[in-house]
Amino acid sequence: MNRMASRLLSYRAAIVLSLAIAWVPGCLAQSAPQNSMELPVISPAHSYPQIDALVKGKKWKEVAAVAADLHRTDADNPTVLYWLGTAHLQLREPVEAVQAFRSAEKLNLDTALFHEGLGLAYYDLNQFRLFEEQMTRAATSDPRDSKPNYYMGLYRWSIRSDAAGALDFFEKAIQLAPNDWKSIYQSGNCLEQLGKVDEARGRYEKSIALLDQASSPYGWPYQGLARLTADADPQRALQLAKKAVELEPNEPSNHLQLALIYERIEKLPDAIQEAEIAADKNPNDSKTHYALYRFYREAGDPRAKTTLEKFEQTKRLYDPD
Amino acid sequence: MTRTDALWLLWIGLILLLGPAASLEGQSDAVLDPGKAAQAKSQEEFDKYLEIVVAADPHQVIGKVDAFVSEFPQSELLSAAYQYKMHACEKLNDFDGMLATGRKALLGNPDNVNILLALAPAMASRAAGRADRDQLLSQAEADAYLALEKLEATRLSRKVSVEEWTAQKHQMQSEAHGALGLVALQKKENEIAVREFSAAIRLDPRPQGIQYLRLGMAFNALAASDDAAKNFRRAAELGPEPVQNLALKELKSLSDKNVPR
Repeated sequence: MNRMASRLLSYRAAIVLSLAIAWVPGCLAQSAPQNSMELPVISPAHSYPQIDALVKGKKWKEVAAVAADLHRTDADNPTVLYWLGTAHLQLREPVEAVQAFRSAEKLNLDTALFHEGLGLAYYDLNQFRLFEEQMTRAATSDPRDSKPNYYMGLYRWSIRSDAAGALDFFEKAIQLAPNDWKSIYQSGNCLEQLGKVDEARGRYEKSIALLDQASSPYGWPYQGLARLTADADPQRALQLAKKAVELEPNEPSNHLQLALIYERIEKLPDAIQEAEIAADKNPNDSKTHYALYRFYREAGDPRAKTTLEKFEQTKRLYDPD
Repeated sequence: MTRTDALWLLWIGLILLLGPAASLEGQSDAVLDPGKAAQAKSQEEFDKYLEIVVAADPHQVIGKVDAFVSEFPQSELLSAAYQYKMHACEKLNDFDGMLATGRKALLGNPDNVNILLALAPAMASRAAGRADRDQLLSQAEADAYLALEKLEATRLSRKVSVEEWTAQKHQMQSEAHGALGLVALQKKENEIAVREFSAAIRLDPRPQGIQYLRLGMAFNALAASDDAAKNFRRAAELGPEPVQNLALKELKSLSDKNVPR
């Protein structure tokens, strides 16, 4: 490993960036978790204070501009190219991101975080073979890092609809980071898909216990547990579903789950209200339109007809055969 | 071929070649099944592919595609690379190059609507006067119909709204109907040409002068002077200048015919 790469590794910091990756659900029995991948990044603080402030402010256009300037004056510096790649990735410019990362790689940058960044850029371009390669290299570069296994699990589940394969990766991630509530939640989701409901419930409970300590706005395990609790204990399910909405009010599936529980406890107006919010936030989801159609029909609401049409249209356009 | 036929072909050819240059390259984003995306086998292969993607100059694109094909003949990305070359040839007005490359692109991706809708109008508009005219028209017709069929069965990425897709779909259907109109006009199936050009105009969110000019031509061939004049006037309003000039010439010709001698 060259001097620069070694220095980068020591500067690894807990800057966590939210990176929205294009998730396209496969043939899922429930709404696919629209989780974003998170990209921890190499901290530029010590070497590049001019980038550091911009990164902290998430000013990615400015980061790209400064990194491009620095690259012109210091063409052999892989860190600058790493930052150029990271900025492009955050700006949803994966072609430019891959090109910058690859230039950095040719200058011998070889850290786990670098490979994760490059892997996610490949992911954004639907290059999953190269994504997997980079995650393997990231795991080799830093065997203590749980993120490559977490990313691989999300990939196996979201793109390949392979719950068993995804579960293997999430289990490995949990071994490396036992308190990572996201991996624990995701493993629960895979277990639920595999019909192992009791085990899934346990994972959701554990994830929630960790989240309650951390106060992180992550609603998925609450939604999952609400779903599994709805029949046996609808009142508890209601509280869990409300909590999921409270934590992530912009996540449409949280509103849909809450709507279904309101239906379960025969509060139809509340069910309609939540389903309408879900449909508004995710107008391309056929399941939401179908639920809303059922509620309207049950309530004798004339909007049932147009909602049924909307369901048929979205099912035809978006759902797999 | 009589002199009248030859002149008619020349005239039609001029009108056909004025067609709108629709760029459909970006539309593949709408239709997405990432699990089925072509995969590069190595980083080097993908590096070379990205060089094609970012190349701005069509000559450069062609050179890079040829190098890519030579270096990675088994690549899953060949069809996509050929699409870039097809559009580069189109920009360079190299119809034979466009056709040959488009066919190669279709080999790896026979139902790709973007390729079909690039080739069908090009074949329909370039067939006149060529030795392979009938073959080109027949292929253009088949490609346009296949594109229309595939558009109906398209599944979308959830990132694309119904409204966005509807607008995009109408634009693409308009392209296909425009190509079918051109085929019909050259086969002198003028009623079909009127129907197809009318559909193309109806579906296009921003119909252009050339589409009205073509519709006017089809009405004129049916001796429907009033409808022809109406469409020539609209073509003259919308332009651009070459279309306007042709439309005005047609209007004058219609007017001259109506003067009692």
